[in-house]
Amino acid sequence: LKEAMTHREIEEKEIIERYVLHQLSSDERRAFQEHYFECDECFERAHTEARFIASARKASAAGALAPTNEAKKAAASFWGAGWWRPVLALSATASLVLAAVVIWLWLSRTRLQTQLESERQARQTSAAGARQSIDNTQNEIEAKLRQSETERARLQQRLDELERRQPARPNHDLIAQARIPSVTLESSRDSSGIAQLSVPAGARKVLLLIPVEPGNRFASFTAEVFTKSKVLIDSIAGVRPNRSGSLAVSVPAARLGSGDYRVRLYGVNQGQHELLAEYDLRVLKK
Amino acid sequence: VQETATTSLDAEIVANIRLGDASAETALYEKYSARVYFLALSELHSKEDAEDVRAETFLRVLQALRQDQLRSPGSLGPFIVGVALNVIREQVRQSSKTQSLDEKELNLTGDRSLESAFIDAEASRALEEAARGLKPREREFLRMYYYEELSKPEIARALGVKEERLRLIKSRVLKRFRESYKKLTSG
Repeated sequence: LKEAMTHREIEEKEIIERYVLHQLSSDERRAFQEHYFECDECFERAHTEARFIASARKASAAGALAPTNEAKKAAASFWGAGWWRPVLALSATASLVLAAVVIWLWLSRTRLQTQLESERQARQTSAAGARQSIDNTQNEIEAKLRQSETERARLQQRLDELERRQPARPNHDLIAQARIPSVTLESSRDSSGIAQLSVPAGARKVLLLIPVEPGNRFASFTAEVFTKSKVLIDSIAGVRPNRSGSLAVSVPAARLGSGDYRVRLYGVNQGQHELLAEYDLRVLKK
Repeated sequence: VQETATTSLDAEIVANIRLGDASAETALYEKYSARVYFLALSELHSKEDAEDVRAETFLRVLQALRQDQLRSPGSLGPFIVGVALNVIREQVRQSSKTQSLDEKELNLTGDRSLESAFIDAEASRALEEAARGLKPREREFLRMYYYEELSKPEIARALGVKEERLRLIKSRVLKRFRESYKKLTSG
């Protein structure tokens, strides 16, 4: 015997809806049919639900239950206006561009950092090499200096020993020069007086000392000695300054008698003679 | 109480039909006619076929009652159901044979849908009124459930609501539909 279907079972199992939608088993279907043949309420509910489901299907098919219609109506004041679409598109595009730029910058920064790091390492390596080279050179120089200092000290010691051993010898040049009569000539333009040279008897030559500017441009100098009547009595060429910066012009004493003379000094450079100065000289022979 | 009253009434109807009371046959028809028609319509989704099933069912039931073939007067309802289902099966077999012979020329199948079977002008208007105040999500539920025939768990996931909420929505809309339909048909 089949058990009769109860209202509770019908409610819990949604029997009415499933009956209309043909979702019950054949036994369940038969049980519910027998139930609503005796139950006015369930028959009415089943009939109503069948109409309801059929109407809902028809309305859905016709688009009357389309959510978009409702949504459009509900949102017409805002979203329906459509003004947000270009704004949204623009924002999305800008976001994409910004993201691309950020990624590009990040990649560039990373690449530059790597490049800088390698350059810095290269510089450090190079600087370390240079420092090492400088240190080596400095060490070599210091070693050479020490060696030179040692050598100089050794030579100085040797020289001192030699000087101590060697007896003192007279300076014949200075002695000779001291015995030769000499006079320092000054330019007649600059000097108010006349240079006087005393020539003792027996002197073989005299020295005319003429100061010249240090570092002049002449290769050598030539001195000419004239009498007062402008007769050339001697010409001395190839004269060069001595250590004290003066020209020591040697004139045979025999050519000079007592009287006044004029001495002309020429600078010689590349064969050209340039008159530099004239000097007055008075010779007193004894 | 209703069941007891029905059983008592059925026993009286059966007894009177057996005695040849025409009013008892009318009473039987008034009580079960709509049910037989609804049952046939639910099975066949064709008003024309349901009408044929109803007529043939009552013909056979009356003959059976007149011939005292109902064993228990208290089981008149299930008896009519059994007769109606037999008539339906016979009609389906007969229709299948006819279709196989002249399917294209006769086009006997017609529009056999739930909509064609149960919709009338009042039902459409009642639904329109019932759906008028629904939220978009509630309308979406009706469309997905009855038209796209998605399951309630699927719809609940799609709409982000609990299944129990869907049952409440359906119950509320169905109640409003029933009220609107009653108002429209009674007026």
